[in-house]
Amino acid sequence: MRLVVRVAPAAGVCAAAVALAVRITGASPLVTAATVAALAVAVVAAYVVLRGRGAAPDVVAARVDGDAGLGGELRSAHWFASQPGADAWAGYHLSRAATHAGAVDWPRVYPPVQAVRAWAMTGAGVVVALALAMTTPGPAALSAADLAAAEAAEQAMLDTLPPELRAQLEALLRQMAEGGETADVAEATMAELQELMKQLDPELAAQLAEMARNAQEMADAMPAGEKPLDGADMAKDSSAGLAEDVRWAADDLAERLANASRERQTAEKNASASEETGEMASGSEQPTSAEGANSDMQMKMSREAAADPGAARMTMGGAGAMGGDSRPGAGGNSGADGQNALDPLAIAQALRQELVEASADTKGENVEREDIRRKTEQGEATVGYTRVAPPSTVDRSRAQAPPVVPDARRALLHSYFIRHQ
Amino acid sequence: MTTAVAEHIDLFRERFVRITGEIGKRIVGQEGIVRDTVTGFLAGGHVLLEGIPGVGKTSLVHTLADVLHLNFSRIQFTPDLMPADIVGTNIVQENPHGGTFFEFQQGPVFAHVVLADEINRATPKTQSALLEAMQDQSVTVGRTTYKLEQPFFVLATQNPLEMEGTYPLPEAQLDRFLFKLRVAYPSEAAMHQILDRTTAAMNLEVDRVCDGPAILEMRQVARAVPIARPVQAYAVRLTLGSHPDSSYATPLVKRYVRYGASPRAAQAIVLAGKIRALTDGRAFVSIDDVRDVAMPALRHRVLLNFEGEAEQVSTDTIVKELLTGVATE
Repeated sequence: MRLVVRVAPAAGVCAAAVALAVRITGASPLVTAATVAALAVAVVAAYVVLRGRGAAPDVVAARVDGDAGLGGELRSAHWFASQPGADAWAGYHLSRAATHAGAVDWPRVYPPVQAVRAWAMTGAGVVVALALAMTTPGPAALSAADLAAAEAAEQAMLDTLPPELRAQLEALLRQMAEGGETADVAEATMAELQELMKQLDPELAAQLAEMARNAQEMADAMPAGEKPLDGADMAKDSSAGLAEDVRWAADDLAERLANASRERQTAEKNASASEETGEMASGSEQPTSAEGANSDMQMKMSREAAADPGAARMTMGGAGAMGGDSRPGAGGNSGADGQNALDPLAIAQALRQELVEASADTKGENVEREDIRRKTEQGEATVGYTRVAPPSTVDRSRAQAPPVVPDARRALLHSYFIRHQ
Repeated sequence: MTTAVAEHIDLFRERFVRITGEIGKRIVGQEGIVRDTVTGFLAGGHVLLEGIPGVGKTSLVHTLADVLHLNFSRIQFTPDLMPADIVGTNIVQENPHGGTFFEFQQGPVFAHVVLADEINRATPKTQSALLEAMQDQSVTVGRTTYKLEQPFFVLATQNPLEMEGTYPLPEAQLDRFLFKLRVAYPSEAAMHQILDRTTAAMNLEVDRVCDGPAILEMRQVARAVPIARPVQAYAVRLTLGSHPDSSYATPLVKRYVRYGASPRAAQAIVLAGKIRALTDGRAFVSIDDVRDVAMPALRHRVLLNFEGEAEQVSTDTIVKELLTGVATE
């Protein structure tokens, strides 16, 4: 009980400290509640265990004896008291021990523990912990409030715009969001937007910039997991399920396809301009010739693939998902459109298949010649250890004479054989 | 009943104080040695005194015999000493009718207190003549066994300096000594007291404060003191801990000890602890009593290995580590 009373205030202080830490770090208040519950269970369990314990063992008797300065009398008497049939000497010993133990100023040896104060400290600690836990806003509530404040700030910023300017901006943004226009149209739209923004009153523009900055600060202050995703994050999030190398390959491929699409749009634009003017540009023939050359190359590679299946996996194109159309501006399957060919699942599947086959090489299973040594090769040692039984007979002719005793050790040997008592 | 026990304790303590007090009249500055010697005597054991010449070893034994009113004999051990010189021999006697017969002539071992001076100077054959007397309290000559009169107490001395031409006691004989006491050189103040007492008067008289029957009674009382099992377990752990293969062995024991103490060591510790408790007026043996007597009871029972001998490790160091390393609980 004395131990429990001593430990309980520490448990209360510990609970309060945990609650304070939870509040500072913004963790869930459930941590505080769980800590308080665990400490309470521990204190109660200690009380039950200590109370249900039987007679004090010899260790406890020895400790009490030492604390009281009885010189081992209490410890010895403790053992004799547990033995049946004590003789005259043991009886005398027990009576003397009882007399001496009664003369000990036990309150001085073991000062009484201020139980009320200890329990009050414990209760205060628990109350503080629970109060901190109950007053701490949860992560969900915090993010909802911040989101609402950010939306209100955005709405206030929009309300400050002139109605006609706001309508024009919304129309332009809607048009950009729907897409479908060419790059030139998009650039023109952006220029128009910037022109509209320049027409704003300087004070109003400054006010808008300030409000936008405030909205950004509020968004930054939100917890990392609760921030609204921007375009890049959304794209990152959409590919989060892919492997690192697959994601990198998909991004790279998407970038290349975007460049190719942009170039093709430029070529189509030039072609349409030529048709309008009645000219036949030399560039208009290029796709046809390039397509024919590509067809020849594809056939050639297919023949090579038939001769070397391993190489065909890496280079064969056309029908597969990774079918390479070498025409300028072409991406993905030969029969697919440039934009529609960006099917991430198909790309990921194709890349994963290729990577799996490549990684299989590290095991050395498809290496034909074993004498090839590569830095990335892995293998398993076949050398083992076998215990060999010692020889049953010893060839004494091979035994060497014992070493000569050094002069420095002669005195020690001499002293060893003429031992001192 | 408890009153009788209290009287036994008081009487024992009073006698012990008187014995040590009378011895202290002659022996100065060796209170610990005197106390341990009397303790060994009352425990029924024998004591080996080790010290340089002139520190009062022989005087201590002389004084003890005088104080206890007991027969005393001194045997100066030399290389040519024979066993018959110790235990005695049969000599031819002539009867009044002209016939002859053998008669046993008792040796100096037939005494209450025997001083074996410089015991390591005699040959092992002669030293072993003391074995039976010390352990069995009897002497066998020819086909006849003679019981020694009680109390029988052998107090041997040896000089640790002059080891040339000596015969170190074998382990079996060393084990028969209850205590091995190292007599230290007296302090400066004790030297002044020694000079004052020995150079002023011709002879220092001591009173006979006790006799044989009283000593035997004290021995009986000492054996009646109870000892609790936890305290006895500590004595056992100390003894077992002197063995290098024991789980209680300390690092020094594991490194330098070849053989540890025998069960006689535990007997000596418990018996001497009981006497220490009685001299303190207590009817129980405490851990401190065991620790107090462990050093003289164990130091000569620990046999060092070659490494310990070569590095001149003291057995006292090993016992000290045992006392600090073995748990009391």
